[in-house]
Amino acid sequence: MTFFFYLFATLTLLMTLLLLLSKKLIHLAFSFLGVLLGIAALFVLAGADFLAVAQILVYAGGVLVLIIIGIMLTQTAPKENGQNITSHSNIISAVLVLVLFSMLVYAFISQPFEQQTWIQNAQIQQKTLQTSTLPSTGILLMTQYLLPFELTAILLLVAIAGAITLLQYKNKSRIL
Amino acid sequence: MLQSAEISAFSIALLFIILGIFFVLMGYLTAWLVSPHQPNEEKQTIYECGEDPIGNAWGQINSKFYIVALLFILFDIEIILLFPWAIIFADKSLYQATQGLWGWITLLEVIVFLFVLALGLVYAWAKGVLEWEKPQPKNSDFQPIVPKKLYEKINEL
Amino acid sequence: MKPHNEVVVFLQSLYKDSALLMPEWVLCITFLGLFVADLWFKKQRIWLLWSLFAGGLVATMIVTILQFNSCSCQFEQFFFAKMLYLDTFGVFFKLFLVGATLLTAFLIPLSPTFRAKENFFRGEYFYLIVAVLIGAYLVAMAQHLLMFYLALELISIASYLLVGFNFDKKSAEGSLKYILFGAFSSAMMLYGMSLLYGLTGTLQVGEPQWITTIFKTPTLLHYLALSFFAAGILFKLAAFPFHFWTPDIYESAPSPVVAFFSVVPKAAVLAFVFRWASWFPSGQLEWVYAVGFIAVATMLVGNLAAFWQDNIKRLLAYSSIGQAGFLLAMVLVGKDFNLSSLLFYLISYSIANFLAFALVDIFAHFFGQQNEMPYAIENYKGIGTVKGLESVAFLLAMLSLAGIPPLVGFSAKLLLYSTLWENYHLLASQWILWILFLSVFLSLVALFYYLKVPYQTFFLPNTSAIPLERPSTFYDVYAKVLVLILSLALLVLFFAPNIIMAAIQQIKLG
Repeated sequence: MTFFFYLFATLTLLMTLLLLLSKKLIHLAFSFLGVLLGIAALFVLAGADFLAVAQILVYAGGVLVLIIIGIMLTQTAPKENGQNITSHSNIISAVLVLVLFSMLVYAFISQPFEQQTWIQNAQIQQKTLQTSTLPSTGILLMTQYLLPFELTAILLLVAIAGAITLLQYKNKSRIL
Repeated sequence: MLQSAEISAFSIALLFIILGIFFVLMGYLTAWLVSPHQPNEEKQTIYECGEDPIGNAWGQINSKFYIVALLFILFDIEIILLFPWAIIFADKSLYQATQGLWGWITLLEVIVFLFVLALGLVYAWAKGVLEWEKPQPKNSDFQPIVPKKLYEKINEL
Repeated sequence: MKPHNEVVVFLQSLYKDSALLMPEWVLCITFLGLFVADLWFKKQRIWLLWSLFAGGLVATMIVTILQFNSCSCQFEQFFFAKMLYLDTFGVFFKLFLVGATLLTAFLIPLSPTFRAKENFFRGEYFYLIVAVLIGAYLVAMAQHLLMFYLALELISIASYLLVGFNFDKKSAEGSLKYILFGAFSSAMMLYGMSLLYGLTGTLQVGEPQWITTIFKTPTLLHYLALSFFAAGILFKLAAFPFHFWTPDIYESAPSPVVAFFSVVPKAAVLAFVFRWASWFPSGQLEWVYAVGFIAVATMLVGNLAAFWQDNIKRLLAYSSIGQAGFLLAMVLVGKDFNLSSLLFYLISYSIANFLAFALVDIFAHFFGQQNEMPYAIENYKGIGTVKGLESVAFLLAMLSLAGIPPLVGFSAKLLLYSTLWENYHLLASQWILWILFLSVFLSLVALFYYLKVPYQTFFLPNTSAIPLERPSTFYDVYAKVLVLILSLALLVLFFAPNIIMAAIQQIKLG
């Protein structure tokens, strides 16, 4: 278990590094696939099976396709020295990010997570990993999280309408 | 090794992924080992059904693909959210605990959800996003300088 | 399978809960109705869609007023499995939000895009505004982080689209900038929320478990999580470190939408912030310092940057940043005080703001569509002799925003200062006194840039060619009536604040 956790965590981190260091957009997209799969595996190890499957279906299967199509939509012929998407290094932002990162790492290490009552309770009950989360997710979606569930539908509808409006604006402007 | 049955079920998926990668790599390896390496200019060109390739492969695709992909994601999310519902909506113990109300209520909730999203599809349809612009064949307005009679003369020969 | 008590309880209360959600149902029906009507009607639809829009808003307003009346007899309750919380404070905010949206509806016919109908006016415009309002309604009542986030995202996504509704290059650029800023800040907020969940074990804000873990023994991670969470909120409020998007967006978006943005999402988020502030432990002052610092910085940035603007919409953008600072200063006052000063300030600010943006559009139309920059301030030179009523109304709006008697903005500012003063005595913190001094000083400073445009209209000779007076159309009469009503509201509320004060003083935070 622990071995698998470290394996997938390392994989995810490596893929993230590759993502950040890759100079071509399409390489970036494919290393993002590795990141997403690694995170899905981490979800599985945390006992969140539904979330893992959703992650693969929505992110690896949908969002990534959208990203790749987006790249293909905007891509032009590569320049002589390759497309350089790493912009000029900004020292101030690098320092800021490093400070924030070290603060977060320190905060996580110093935080006594084991002493928190809800985590202690969960450890005593030990029921999270025994069964699939799918039925309980379903019941929660239909009862406690009903309102967010229906709100999602409206959110998606707005997103569809918006995407199409933007597309049609483009077509119209071509005619006008 | 893995404690719960739920997680170990995923190890089969992991096995498939590893096997998939393995088979692809083995294919490459055998091809590399077995095939002769004698490159020439003709072999190095990009294969395009026997034609000589013109230009480069970085053509921009139609923006309609993007909208189709976007629509796909939205309905993908919808399917994901329907999945847990499908598991529990006919659950017997819940059915009994609520005197059959559970089935109706959840059905109603999902119908509302689907109705709102179906409107999205109707919208896409009505706005003509799903119609693909077919390229119209254009008649060439080329006027040949050579009169037709000359061709006829050639044909007579 | 575990026993299904929770499910049974939920189903039993579902009917009652749905009844409490009545205004939101009406809004959703308006949204879907507009959606279908937009697809159904092909011709002569602009006014039809507009009346459906306004009608739906009026219906929502009526239902909300009914809810307010039934709610004033001291009831506060959680509903929808503690997702939402209903109290007079929330219902009043909802009433305010729908009122502001209705004002937007009346502003829309004045916008140049609406007047040039053949310019393919899109029906999406209306229902996206309704979608923002649905989100704002839910934000004002949210007691659960998931609910809050989804509602805020509904506001955001619809806003990104509305910014692009001028359909020109500038508008598209503004929309893209807004999406990038918005996505960044909402990602930060989501990260903060996930950390807060890890720290407390619940998404239910305001639960005792939540409040004790967050405020009683805060560690570094608590502070980091809270500041990440604050990023999303400050973005929506256009407050200090997240205000950069405001001028660009305000400049490129259609004016009614800008007026709407400067009030509705801000007020909704402010309601949430105020609930949040009411849980601050009264003894500890570090929360006062944190909020006070953001408020002061926002005031400074907004009021000082407004000086150098030569575009009226950018000027109003910085003015709205400054006003957001004053509104945030109200958060310091906390639960122990009467909420009336905050609500009164919000109302006075929005009326003046709506009047200002209505006039911006009226003047932009007057300067003509040939004019390359209809929002430049130098256009206003000497316009006072030609458009008398509108220029005076502009002066009134600006004076009210600056807080000069005899306008409602003065009473609002006075209330703000007096509450801050009381609070200073209660907490005995020098910091609040400094905030008070600074806000008084900045209001004086603000007077200079608020009078920039009226100075141009009344004291400078007209240099540019004024367009010929066209025969007055329906729109001109409509514009005059609207301007007159809003300016009168500014005056009347100064002399008779009791019209709204009576309602406001019943309001309690649950």
